[in-house]
Amino acid sequence: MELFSAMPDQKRMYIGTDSGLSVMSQSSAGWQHCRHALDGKFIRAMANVRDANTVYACVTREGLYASRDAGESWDLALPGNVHSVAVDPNNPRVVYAGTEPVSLFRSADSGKSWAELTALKQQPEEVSDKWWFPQYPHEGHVLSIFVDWHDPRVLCVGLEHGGILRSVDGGDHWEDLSAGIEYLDIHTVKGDPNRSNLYYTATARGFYRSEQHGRDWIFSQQGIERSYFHDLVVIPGQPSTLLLATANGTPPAWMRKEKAQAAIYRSTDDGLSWQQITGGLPASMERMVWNLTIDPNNREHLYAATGEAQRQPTESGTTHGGVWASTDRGDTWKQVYEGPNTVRSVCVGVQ
Amino acid sequence: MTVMANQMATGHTSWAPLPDEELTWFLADSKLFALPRPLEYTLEVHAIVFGLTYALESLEFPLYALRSRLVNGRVYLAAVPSASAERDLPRRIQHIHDQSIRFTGNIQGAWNRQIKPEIELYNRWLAETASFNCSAQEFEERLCQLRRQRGNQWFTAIRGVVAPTALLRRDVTGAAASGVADLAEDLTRQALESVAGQGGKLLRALLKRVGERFSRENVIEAGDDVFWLEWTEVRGLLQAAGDRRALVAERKAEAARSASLPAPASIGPSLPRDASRMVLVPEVLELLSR
Repeated sequence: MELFSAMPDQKRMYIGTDSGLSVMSQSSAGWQHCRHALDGKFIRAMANVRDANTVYACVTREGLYASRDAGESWDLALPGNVHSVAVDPNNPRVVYAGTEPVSLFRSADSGKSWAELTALKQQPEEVSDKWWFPQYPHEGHVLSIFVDWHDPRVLCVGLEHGGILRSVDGGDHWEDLSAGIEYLDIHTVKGDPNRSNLYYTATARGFYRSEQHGRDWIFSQQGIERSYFHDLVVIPGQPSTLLLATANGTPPAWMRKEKAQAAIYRSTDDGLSWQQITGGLPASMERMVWNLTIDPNNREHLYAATGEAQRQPTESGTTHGGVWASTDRGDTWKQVYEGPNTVRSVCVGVQ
Repeated sequence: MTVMANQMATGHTSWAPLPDEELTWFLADSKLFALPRPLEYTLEVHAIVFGLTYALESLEFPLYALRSRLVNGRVYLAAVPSASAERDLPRRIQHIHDQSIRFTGNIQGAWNRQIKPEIELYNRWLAETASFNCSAQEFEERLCQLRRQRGNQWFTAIRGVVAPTALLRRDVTGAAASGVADLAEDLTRQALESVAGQGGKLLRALLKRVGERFSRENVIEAGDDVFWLEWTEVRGLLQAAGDRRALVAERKAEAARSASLPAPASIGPSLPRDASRMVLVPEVLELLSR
């Protein structure tokens, strides 16, 4: 199956911040601002559909918004406290949304109607007892959703906090696969497009890999000099390239004067060893890299969303977030957007 | 074997926490833990240990978890080592400092803004539930949440006030000048009065009402006997009543026998007090026992 298509004609970039969304379009002069949308809303995560004008945005405590016209207009597609969204790489009409408290919803018609995959919540007490979060109301949530690159029946979710669960039958049954992970604050869980047995997870306190379909996780941080891990992107290739967003300490610690001390690391050996990427990026970034994403139409093109730990007061002339871009698989980076609000997520699509 | 797994966490073996038999257990003899009856152990002690574990984890104390067990009716606690903390202990100690800035930087502000309102919210929830101003179904639903709610209340107090006070007392944060540690101790006293004092009283009132219902249904002899049942048994009996009078009598007799048995200060392999997994844990427990 072809995972990435040829270069498109026109690109749009959707920048989700902790106070609204910006739509940008690419021109010969670079990225130009088109419009604002979802003003004031906390955009936690986004996903888009390759070769379509469909974009999804998770808005904290409100729900999943969808745009069918490349960001011109937005509708509430799924109310709730939606924290994550993923489009099935095997079928762009199939969309998953994860919420707080822990629930997973599936749409087979591009977000027009939804059904809850109720089996996820029906776990033994020793599993669901671990679903928790340090901030009030102390409920865990689905922060990461992975749909297998080749088999749409295989789903995996990462819970913040709570662990990793996997289904091999499209969500009818789930198995807790958290063994081996010390601190179950799961930020991202992904599989490798080349080897279906190979899984990766970035947790608040470690990067782990599993060669057993998500079982028996092994800590794997050779070369990394950071202690906090957030987003992870897997770039298909032979072998796959992994990019990992890191920092020192969890967000409350970033009140120190050095702030996040963020860095992006790259692995080209299936997550066994890592090298920090510095081409154009500061060696120690004050802002966190909250999201890493690939241009779905060009696997060489990568984007990094950056910002503060918490929403900052808006003051004239101050900026708190940005987007960095790379056109060479992460070798070199330059900043393509700087704005007043923390950027939590970014995605790029074709108009 | 498991020790090996713990040590090999960076190699090719999956990490696993140490099992109970490889841990060092310390007698927890403060009034919070003194000779708990089955319901006190499975509900309140469980909630305290839940709150302690998540609070210390959240502040990056260098341990994986705290566990409790009953030996001859006494509560023993053990700190489970953390592979990730022990890989780089100095960095982890620095992280305790960094994670605590939000509380130690302005402990009075954090208390007023966040900690005190949340603790009081749980007390209101306990009071509402104890007063039975809801349907039977809603009452049972609330009871299902009770242990987690109580655990969250302990978490909030320990993370926001008790553990930061231990840090300030040891001056780990470097912020102990000008009476900040004294202020923190006063806030800890207020927090414990609210959680252990008021919250504990509300919790007991709530459970006594459950006991009175069980007594009317001939599940137990007297309302107070509910404390001789375990939490999962109480939840089950709310769904389907059954006679537990013989079980209660048996447990009372067993507790009377256990009370006269010796209680060693620690059980299991010896562990130095300065073991990394114990960093600041005795100080936090000492504050909780006041």
